[in-house]
Amino acid sequence: MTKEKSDNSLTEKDVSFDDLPKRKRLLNPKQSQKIGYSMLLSSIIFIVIVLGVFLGYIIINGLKSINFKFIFSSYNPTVGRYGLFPSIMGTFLLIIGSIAIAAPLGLLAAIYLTEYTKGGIIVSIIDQGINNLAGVPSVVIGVFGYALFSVYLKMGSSMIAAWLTLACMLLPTIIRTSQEALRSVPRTYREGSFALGATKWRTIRYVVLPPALPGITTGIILSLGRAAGETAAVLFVGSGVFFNRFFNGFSGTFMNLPNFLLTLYRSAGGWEQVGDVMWLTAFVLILIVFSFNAVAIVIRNRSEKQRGSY
Amino acid sequence: MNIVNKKLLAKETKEEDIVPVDMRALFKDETEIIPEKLVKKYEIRMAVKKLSHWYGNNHVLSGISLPIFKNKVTAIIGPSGCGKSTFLRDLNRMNDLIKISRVRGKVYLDGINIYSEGIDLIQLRKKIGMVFQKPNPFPMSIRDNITYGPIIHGINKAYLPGLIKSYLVKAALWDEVHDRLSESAFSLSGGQQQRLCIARALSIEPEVILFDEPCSALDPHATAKIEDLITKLKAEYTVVIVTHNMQQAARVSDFTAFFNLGELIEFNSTRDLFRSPIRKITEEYISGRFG
Repeated sequence: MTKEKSDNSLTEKDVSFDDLPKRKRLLNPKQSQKIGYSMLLSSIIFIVIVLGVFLGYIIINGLKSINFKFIFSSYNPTVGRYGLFPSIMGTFLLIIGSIAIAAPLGLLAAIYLTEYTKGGIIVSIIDQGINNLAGVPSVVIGVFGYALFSVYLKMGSSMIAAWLTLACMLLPTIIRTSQEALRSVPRTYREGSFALGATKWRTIRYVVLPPALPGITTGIILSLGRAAGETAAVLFVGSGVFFNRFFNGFSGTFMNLPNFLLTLYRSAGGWEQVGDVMWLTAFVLILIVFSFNAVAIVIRNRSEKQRGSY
Repeated sequence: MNIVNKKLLAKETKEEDIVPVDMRALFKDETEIIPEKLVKKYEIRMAVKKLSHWYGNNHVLSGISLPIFKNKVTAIIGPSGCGKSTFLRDLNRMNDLIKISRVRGKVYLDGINIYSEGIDLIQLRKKIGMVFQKPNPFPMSIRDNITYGPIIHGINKAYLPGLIKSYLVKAALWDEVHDRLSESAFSLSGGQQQRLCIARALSIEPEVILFDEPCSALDPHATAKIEDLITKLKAEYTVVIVTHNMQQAARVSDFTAFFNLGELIEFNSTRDLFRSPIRKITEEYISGRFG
């Protein structure tokens, strides 16, 4: 009521905007702008420093202890040989295998969910299920993978069981990010294609997928790092140690860098003896993740360039 | 049945199952709104009979009957929310994409109901092209935007370069883009993009072209170019254009249908409808007193 009155008085007496009483403020707009900006700036500076120190420490220590004989030899602590190569190879194969299973499967599932389903209860249950799965701790996935692949499907402790287990872990993320990427493609593109008499599949393949590709690739990049660094889940399904060999076959146990670090940490030698190898292992692991990411980014940029900017 | 009609049908449909109707006869009982002399005088390309449309429980079109004459421009005008865009999208079944939409009634193309079973949507949309409100070129090069349609419909790759030129010329865009066909379609201005979309619609050699407020996102200069193009297109194509711009309807169209609240209020030749509207509400709308 009072508000209405003051509104009326504004028009009747023709009070100008500048003459209206102002509310009290703690800070004037310029001050709050400054504070806001300095908060943003200081947080980014902090993050850059922390990340820089973190990465720099690993890289410097890794480079300091670099030893190609270590990197390219097999593992046998009984003769003091902590060779990295079986673990490098295992990590490499784990990444390639799990992504090769999870990426196509996840992308196809995402396409089906976004382009072909028409909503409804079942779809929203599936959607929510995927969301929840993405948050399941990897150790639980490991238990599941062990029960299903190793025991029930009799794959035992093997690289193949690890691929499938890791793929289960990565699928929710890949589906989710791919769905987001597909949804961000404007509906008008699809309409334009249908109006020309295109089938749904052709529309998806030539009009929807290309602009969604960068987002899909981002999801895969995130998954690469997780596959490379996964420790707990693969422990259940075949990550272990073997001596004097590089590779134990696809149906045999394997070594990978994260679990190798764990083994070193638990080993009798202690920090003095294995510290160097641990730095080197961490360094190599980061190097592998970065190089996979670099390849994915190059592929993404190239596909963007081909289509031209928009 | 002629060959043109046969192509509309999906392969498994027998042609004797669908017999084309006499579209003139459809309007015998509609003389109250559809002037008899027009139906007698001009050849009908498409005929809409008692078309109703719902989105969920929202009744957006009720009982529309309308002839669309061959090689003429028919404008659909009316205030916002009167269902004119929905009507247009019913003509090539674009509303099939919307899951809550329901259609009752019939839409005939050359005497065949496009809502009957056994209609091949791909062939239907090849025959009835569409240009949308906002320019929506594909995220590809200018060249690929034009060749997309012909490739879908199986044109031999050797003929594509010739097609690109001929459709860009038809859409009055060739002179502006002939030296940069490989560039992204997004490098074009809004008006150019819309002409590219028209060229793209032409590229599948449709017989009818639907324009859904094609100039609403464009400046006056680009609008003039597109209007000019539309009047040229009617020599070869049958055109239906939805517009909220009455001057535009008056400039480009031969016939005008006035929609209000999901109903067809009045239909006549554009000249007669604008000069001497029969219904009062039509007069109020075209004189700008409401809408």
